Amino acid sequence: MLWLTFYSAFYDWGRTPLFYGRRPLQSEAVLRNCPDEQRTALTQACGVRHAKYHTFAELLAVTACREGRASLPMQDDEVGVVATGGPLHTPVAWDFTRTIQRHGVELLNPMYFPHMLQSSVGCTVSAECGARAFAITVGHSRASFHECLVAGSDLINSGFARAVLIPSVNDGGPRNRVLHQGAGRDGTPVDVGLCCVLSSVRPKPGGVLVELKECIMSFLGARNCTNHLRDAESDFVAEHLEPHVVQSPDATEPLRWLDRWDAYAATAAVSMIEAIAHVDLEYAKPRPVSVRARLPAKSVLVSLTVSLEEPTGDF
Amino acid sequence: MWSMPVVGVGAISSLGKSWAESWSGLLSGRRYRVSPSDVFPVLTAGHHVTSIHGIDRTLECVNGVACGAALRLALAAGKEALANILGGGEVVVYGGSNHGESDLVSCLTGREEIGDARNEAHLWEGLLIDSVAEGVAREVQNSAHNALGSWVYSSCTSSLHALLLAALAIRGTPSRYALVIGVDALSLAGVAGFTAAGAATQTDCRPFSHRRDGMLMGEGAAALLLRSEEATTSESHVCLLGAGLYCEKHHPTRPDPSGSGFERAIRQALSRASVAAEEIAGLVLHGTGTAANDDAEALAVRRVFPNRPPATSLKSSLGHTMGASGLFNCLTAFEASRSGALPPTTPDRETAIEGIDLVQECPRTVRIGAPIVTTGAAFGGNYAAFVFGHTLTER
Repeated sequence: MLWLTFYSAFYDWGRTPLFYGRRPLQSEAVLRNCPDEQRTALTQACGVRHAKYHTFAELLAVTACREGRASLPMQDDEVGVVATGGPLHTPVAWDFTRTIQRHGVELLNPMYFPHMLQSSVGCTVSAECGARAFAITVGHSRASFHECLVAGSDLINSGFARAVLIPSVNDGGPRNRVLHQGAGRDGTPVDVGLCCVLSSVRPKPGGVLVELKECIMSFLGARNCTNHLRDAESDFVAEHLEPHVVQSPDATEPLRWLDRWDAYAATAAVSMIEAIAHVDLEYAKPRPVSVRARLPAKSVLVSLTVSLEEPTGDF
Repeated sequence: MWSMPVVGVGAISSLGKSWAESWSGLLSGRRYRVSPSDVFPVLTAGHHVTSIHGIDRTLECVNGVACGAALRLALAAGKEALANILGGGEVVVYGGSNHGESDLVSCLTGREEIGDARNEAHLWEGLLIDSVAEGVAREVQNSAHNALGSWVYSSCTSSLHALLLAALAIRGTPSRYALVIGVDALSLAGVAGFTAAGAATQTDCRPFSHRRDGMLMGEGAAALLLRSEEATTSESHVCLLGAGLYCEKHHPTRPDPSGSGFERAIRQALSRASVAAEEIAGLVLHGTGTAANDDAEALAVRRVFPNRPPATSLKSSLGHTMGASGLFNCLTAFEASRSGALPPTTPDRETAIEGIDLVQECPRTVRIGAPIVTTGAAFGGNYAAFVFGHTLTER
């Protein structure tokens, strides 16, 4: 059996898992449109050595995953990382490339070099949080978080790790806003700093318990050749929740934030949190929740059982 | 132990436009090198790189997706690997790349400098969604049974991680195929970054030689088609037998000098493959030609393989193909086990690091079907090792 817990870089409760108790979850717990001064403060507070060379996405991931890692009673080589988000590297890659074009190789600072790659988020989390089994980064489509769950559960079930940290992050900063506008997209890129912990060890009792029942990537038959990766969100909305377990009569409500904001590959992770938060929970009554990401060529179905447990002790 | 047969391969590299041409080039020690400034006029530093002759590096919009050199390479290798697929069966595609279509960044930064980037929505979109993954997804979904599983970015272990995820995805499911693609085209930032870091060779790339002074940047795409293990056949196949992973903390770009990362990944792969170190007939090593990597890897090899099996590296011939390099190693391990020939590291004789039986000058014969170990390493401390060979009953 595998369990999920979530941690946010923006959550003010310190080590408390997001779903502790029955406190109402607001999207602000995982989404933030950070003003520049808040970015600087978060960068300084993250405690990462040489933080100025890192992307903001890396720092968000480390902040969230440090809390997640602390919840796992395991050796470092029993914990792996499967990261997603994106684009994760563009602010550093942009400045690095512009320096080459303006000044040549001589003025390049190689300290920035590893941070101009997509892989930097997973590797930085691995180094800073103590996860030595592997550090894999899965590409930045709307369904990537679900793909991370598939990969993470496969890796755990095959004995490559006992737990996997899944940072799902997005940098809504100035450079990515330029990208977003250049592509002619609607909405505004938003900052997301989320860590999903997928573990074979049951979390401590107390609060919302999420069990991963099934995680299936399946492929559809005849397909159209349109926006394979970009349009995944359309079916998130349509098939998001089992209606009978949703508190709200409108099953699409959890994704309303997408009208204003865009979190790219972190979208699915935020949506899953909101889906779980809308389940009408009662103590000792497990509820099934299915979250499906469907792209033109495939669908990824994640089936969960969500229950509420009495807390036993303080966090 | 796993036993997933390799049923197709494809490649495009500086040595040829197919795996057969590339393999022939590896066996003969052929090389194709150009100056970095031939590819990127803005670069005046750096000694040389390997490059694919005649490659089209233009960025164009194809069906709304930015298409550049990396996507073209990925599709060429993938199609070759799929060419010999027989019968039906679903093909799930996994891919890996170090930097995707990185020319997008240099193209857009250049245009932004002159205020000419606003009308290039498909290029901006290509950065947001990664046009290589998107392009491969669109291509494979045109076929009734194919679809993209996931696209992986793990620096130079990208294609190895993709291979592992692909193997896990089809494992235990009858009649399924997984196509794995590793790709990277030369990138301005990559060549400049390694040059600035002092890791690029100023003379010639000589992996595991005492005279080595750095790595040689390269480009290419490799593809490998796996079949799920339950699909039995009377034909004898080289199979993927096992895999091992590790991620260390030592340094963002340099390996732990003790070689512990390599060692852990290799031991894990041997254990999963149920193969003893003494049974290994050959090694296809990461061997970049840098002082740090080769020293660490050689230490690990000495500890794990006291019987010193013959070892080779492709980086002198192919160059370091970044995200594709791990899969090129896997193709070589597969071909060595299938054909019984391990290609040379360099066409000349070098004094190798102690404890490494380096294949040099000409190919070395290995027993057909014997297990071969291949390794890969990447920025961020990632290590991967795989074992290819015939299953125990066929050896």
